[in-house]
Amino acid sequence: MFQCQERYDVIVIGAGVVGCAIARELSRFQLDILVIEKEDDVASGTSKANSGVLHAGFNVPTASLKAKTNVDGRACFEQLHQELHFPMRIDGKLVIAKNDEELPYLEKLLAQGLKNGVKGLAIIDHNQIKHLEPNVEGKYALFSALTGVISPYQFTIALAENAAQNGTHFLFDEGVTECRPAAGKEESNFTIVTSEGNHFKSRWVINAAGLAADKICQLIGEDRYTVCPCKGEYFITDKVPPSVLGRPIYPVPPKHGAGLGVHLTVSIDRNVLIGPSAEYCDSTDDIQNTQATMQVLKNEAYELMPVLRDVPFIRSYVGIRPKLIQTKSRENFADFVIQPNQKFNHFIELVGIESPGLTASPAIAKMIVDMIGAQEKLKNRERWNPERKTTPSFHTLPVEEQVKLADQDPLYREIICRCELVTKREVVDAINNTLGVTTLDAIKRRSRSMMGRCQGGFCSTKIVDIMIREFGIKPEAIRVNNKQSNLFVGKIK
Amino acid sequence: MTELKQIYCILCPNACAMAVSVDSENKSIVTVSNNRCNRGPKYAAQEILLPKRTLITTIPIDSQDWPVVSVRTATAIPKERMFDVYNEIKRCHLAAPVTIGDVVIKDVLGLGTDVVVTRTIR
Amino acid sequence: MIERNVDVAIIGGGPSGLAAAIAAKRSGSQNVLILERNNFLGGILIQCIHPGFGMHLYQEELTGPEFAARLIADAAKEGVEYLLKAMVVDLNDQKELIVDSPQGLIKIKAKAVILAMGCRERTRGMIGIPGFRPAGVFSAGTAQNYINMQNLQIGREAIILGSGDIGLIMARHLTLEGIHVIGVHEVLPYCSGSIRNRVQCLEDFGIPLHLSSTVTDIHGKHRLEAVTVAKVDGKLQPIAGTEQKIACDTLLLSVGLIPENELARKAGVKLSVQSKGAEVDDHLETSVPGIFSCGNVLHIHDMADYASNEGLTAGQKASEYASHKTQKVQNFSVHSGEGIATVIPQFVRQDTREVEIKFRIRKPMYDVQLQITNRGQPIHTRRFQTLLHSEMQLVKLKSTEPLDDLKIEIVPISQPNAR
Repeated sequence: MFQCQERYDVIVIGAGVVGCAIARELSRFQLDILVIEKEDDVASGTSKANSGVLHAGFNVPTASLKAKTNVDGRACFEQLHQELHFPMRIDGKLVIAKNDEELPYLEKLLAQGLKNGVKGLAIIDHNQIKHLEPNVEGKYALFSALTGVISPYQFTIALAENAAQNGTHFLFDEGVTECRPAAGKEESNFTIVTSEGNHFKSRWVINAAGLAADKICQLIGEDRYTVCPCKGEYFITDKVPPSVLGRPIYPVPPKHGAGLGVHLTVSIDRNVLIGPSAEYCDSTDDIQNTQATMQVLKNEAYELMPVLRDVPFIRSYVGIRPKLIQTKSRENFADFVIQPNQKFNHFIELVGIESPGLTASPAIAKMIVDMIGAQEKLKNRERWNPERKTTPSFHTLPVEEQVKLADQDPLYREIICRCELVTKREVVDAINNTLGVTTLDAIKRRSRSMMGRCQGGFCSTKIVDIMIREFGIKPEAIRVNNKQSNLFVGKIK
Repeated sequence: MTELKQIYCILCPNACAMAVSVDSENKSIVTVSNNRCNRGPKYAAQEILLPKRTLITTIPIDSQDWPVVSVRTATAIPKERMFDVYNEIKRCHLAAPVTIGDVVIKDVLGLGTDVVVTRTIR
Repeated sequence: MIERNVDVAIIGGGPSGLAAAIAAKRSGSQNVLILERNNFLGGILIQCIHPGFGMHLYQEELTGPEFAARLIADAAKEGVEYLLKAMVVDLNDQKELIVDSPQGLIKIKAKAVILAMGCRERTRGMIGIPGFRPAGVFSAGTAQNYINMQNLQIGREAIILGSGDIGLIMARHLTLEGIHVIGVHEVLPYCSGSIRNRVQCLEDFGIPLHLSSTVTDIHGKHRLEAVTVAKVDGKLQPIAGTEQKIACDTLLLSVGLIPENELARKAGVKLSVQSKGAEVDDHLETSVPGIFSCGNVLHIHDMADYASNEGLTAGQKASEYASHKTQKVQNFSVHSGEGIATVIPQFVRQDTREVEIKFRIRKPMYDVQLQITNRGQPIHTRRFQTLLHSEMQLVKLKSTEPLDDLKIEIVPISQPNAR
């Protein structure tokens, strides 16, 4: 897809939301940029498996980098939404206190939020909760008007596609195995070697490797960091109408937990996400759901919202937080690390970018531009285009618009995914995506096909048929995500 | 010597649990009971003396619309010859159009039945 | 947008929809239109290439595609019209449909609508199997499509979870097509598929069936590498210490079917908690006047023939409704008592004196009596040595009085008059 060159000005390691936001922000300038990703697609790790909440910024300690990038990042989203056309909904969120004892926690959050410069915060009572969310139980709540939801992978895809449209190269399915500073010219030339044996030279290296950020630092001899993987399990339910649940609902977090507590998030597509749990684990690969945690999630969700008992689940998933300290108390705090390496100042390290990293990513990207800009003059790219072209999503449009699309384009006249009402146009465009990723997960995240209540039971067969017969992809080359995930052995006969 | 065997009838979902007494010397059926319809004894005899099954599979086809077409043995074949017939069918390749009932292999392996197409593909 | 008026619009061109269309035509409706979302008629029958169809409707044992071809030929003879690749995206209680089709979006106003959308398979996510989420975990029907329609080999070593008919049929078919089936695991203490399939699909090929056994973990981050199976206790919970890790690259799930009623919900049709399909009267008319339901979207059938038979009823009644020969009338509830899982219809019309009751029980029962009463008086009893949960039961009732207090229950034979 991308004709990679030998030399780049900047190599970004990791195509999560942070890496892609950085690439997109750097693509404004006359720089040759390569993003290297060990998985098959962008947003394949922590960036895809979270709640997709745009945080307002009251959860993080005042004066921290987390607070600054959260509030600054949140402020970028209205414009990003205009430019990149990813789905976004700002309906606020509620942090629920079940009783009087939990009220002080809400007051603390409110005070912290006000100090962080967060607008639109208010503590409301039982009646006001019922007015907003009739199905939610609680005595008091902190209402945050600026909290919203996005699709975290569609946002990351949007950033990456726009970066690619503006000249950024992406290399998938290759991990970085070596990063060698050039002898003598320590700070400004690196040789990067990938797992496939490809060599690249770059003047700057941005370590946005998320869960592997500590390992990437070790490649240049920086061993100060240890990423502590912390698992968060989720359930996804079938869709619910806004009258059932309209916005994210958070509890007062448990005192001895590592996260924000099991919460209910209405996803951008109106499924309810239940989770996450928070458990430190041994491996950054440990994306397994466990029986015990799945039961806990269900119980806690049903306590917050009894009517959820009647809503079927459609899937479960696990995200892993790259934490910098392993702690059981919410009083301990580790901030984001975003800085040039002490020894090699053209190697920028981003470590411990966990929540609110999704919301903070646009602000983090601007910080990286400033760090590079402090050492060299950045020239604007001519004809930088902030607009990303997207395929109109049939099911989200009013019927008059659907009629128009179907009149103009025969591929809008065929529904491939019955659950999410995804047309052949959307599927074909997803297969033909800007980044050239043709795995089933890539098609799923771009088109929403295979994501509904039948989990691709029907439409995956149609999509496979299109891939084989219209795109000429060999059955044995069809995979779900990375190189080991082939769906078929081959043809039977 | 008569031996008593229980055979579940599989001709319909009633699945009668038939009691069958078999003359083990002559290899013949003496009596059948517990059958709800008169197709039962015939099936029981066949199932004990020469069990037969209908074989179904697909054959690759050159067609704009479908990569394979479904086929069957027109009538049931001896159970122990299933894989022999399967391997025989596996060597076939068709080209559209085919019509339901078209004979693909006449008298397959001399078993007295044909392999036929079960779906029309234009 | 193109607009059309029809007498009877049928959503779905599978075994029940095709039969409904045939019956609607035979009952005198002029414009009968099938809206089929696939690019072929016949629905799931086309991928069910095994025999076992048509015994009731055509007195001949046919394969799925052959059975479909008969229905399609009959529909053609009656002059049924159909649209392929036509997905109904909206339906309201005024019987107006919005259809995305090769002709663009079409608005159809129907005098009567028949829901015949079929069902979907329960997924791994729904039953919540823990573990990784690798490639190689398929629902059985999806695997059937890949193998029978697309000639694709989905793996080499397979475990099947669920002993429903689809699971059993796929066990045989995988074996035949060169994919080794290690075993079939069923969480319940009894087989959920028919005895015929248990004999012909498992015993014929020596495939072991493990009862009271389920999959408790899935291994392999990218492609399935192994599953953990465990015995379950009486509450279907895994028993610690019985876990066994089995290497395999394919897991097929045959863990139940769910009527696909999203459109019914849009139209405001009242759904049954038990059957997950519409609540209907003995005309198969739903809570919304003029909207009828039949086949697997109404309740899960074990035989396509029965789904077609139901389609014939729905087609006739919908046609009569469209031509104003009948209308929605007051109706009475059918009460289901002890042992009954689902009953169709849930209501009997006040003018009805003859009705066909279909029911399904919760678990296999032995030496029991079906007892149906009206106003407390027995009007039908029948003894069963074996009554299986996997088989839908049909009972025809006749009465001179209104069937205004029907109750159906299963009682032990030793005390037939206990109630």
